[in-house]
Amino acid sequence: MKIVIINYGAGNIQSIKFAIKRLGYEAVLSNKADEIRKADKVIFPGVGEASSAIKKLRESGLDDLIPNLKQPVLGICLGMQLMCNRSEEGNTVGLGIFDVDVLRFSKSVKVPQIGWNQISDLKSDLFKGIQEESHIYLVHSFYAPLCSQTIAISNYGLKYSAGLKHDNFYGTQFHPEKSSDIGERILSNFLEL
Amino acid sequence: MDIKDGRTVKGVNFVDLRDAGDPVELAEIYSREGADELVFLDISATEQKRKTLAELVYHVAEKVSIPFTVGGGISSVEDVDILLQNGADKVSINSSAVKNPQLINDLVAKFGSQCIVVAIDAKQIEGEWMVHLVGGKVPTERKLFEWAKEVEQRGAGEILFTSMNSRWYQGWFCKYRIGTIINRFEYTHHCLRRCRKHATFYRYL
Repeated sequence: MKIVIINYGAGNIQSIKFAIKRLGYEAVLSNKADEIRKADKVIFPGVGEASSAIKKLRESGLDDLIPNLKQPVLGICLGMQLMCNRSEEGNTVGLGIFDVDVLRFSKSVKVPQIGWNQISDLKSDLFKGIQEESHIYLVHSFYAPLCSQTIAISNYGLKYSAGLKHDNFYGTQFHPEKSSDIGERILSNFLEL
Repeated sequence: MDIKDGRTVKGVNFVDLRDAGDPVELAEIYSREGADELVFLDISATEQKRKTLAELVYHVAEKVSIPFTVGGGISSVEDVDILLQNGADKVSINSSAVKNPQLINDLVAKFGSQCIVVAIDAKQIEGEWMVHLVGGKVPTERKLFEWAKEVEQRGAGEILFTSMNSRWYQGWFCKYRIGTIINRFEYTHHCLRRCRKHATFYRYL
């Protein structure tokens, strides 16, 4: 199986590569359209600020490529947010895969949310074998509200989408690569889709 | 975990250190046993420190699936960049922030507050909590609560507080008090909550 982690200069992708290796697979880092298109599974990571991340995607033409991919694609954290219509962060226009706008957490909660939280209302094979209320690790200041594409819910002052799915596109707000054995199972589920 | 020359060491307030094993192996065990986060503080003072710390971070990232923080002698944007690139989730700064508080702002601007932790060691002297450096050996003029507030205002995402009066019971008590006084201390609340849930966590500290 060929696994590609999209490398567009945003965030700590080493951890994702290692997590995949622990599951017994090898992933390659790439920003080349051909290589990404040929992959069996594509992971779209991201840590950082939305408008500068989308700018990097545009510079390498990946903004056109990603929405047209046919194989399973998993966006993680900022990656998931960039797959949405828009983000309040830097007033960014996203890739429009998930039909929802990303908003900033209100001032009533500590921002960013850093740490462990729980996921519930789990849908889709991505969460096969995962119990409701399982703990996952998150670091984020912006969130995708609940919508028809929500496949996991978390609660931080309000309920929001911890997971999204549209056709072959999946997104997790949390970091499966940092969420211990639960996260490893979710990554493994994705690789076995 | 306190790290010296690539090995985990144990002691009380950085005195009478003894070898406690390979940090990567320990990290794997702690991760497997249900720890939420790991913190590595390098207390060695060799010239090769930067390289060995980066290598340690790489090997820990390879093995564990939980977030971890690394600290010890970090004093520049470049130092932080190397550690994050090798797979650390967060870095912790201490003396360098006290000496040059602007460093906190610079790191937050470049990497985001989510990965910048400021470690504060404090000792209570005649009723007043004062910030100390070098494992509690060097007193400073800074008062703990003022410094903590400044650190927060400069954008640090978390504070890692150590009471140098006692690393055990009293230490936890102090963490709790500070946590209640300044509600921003995510790390403090976090640790306490999990420790109650997983009593074994205590043993590893």
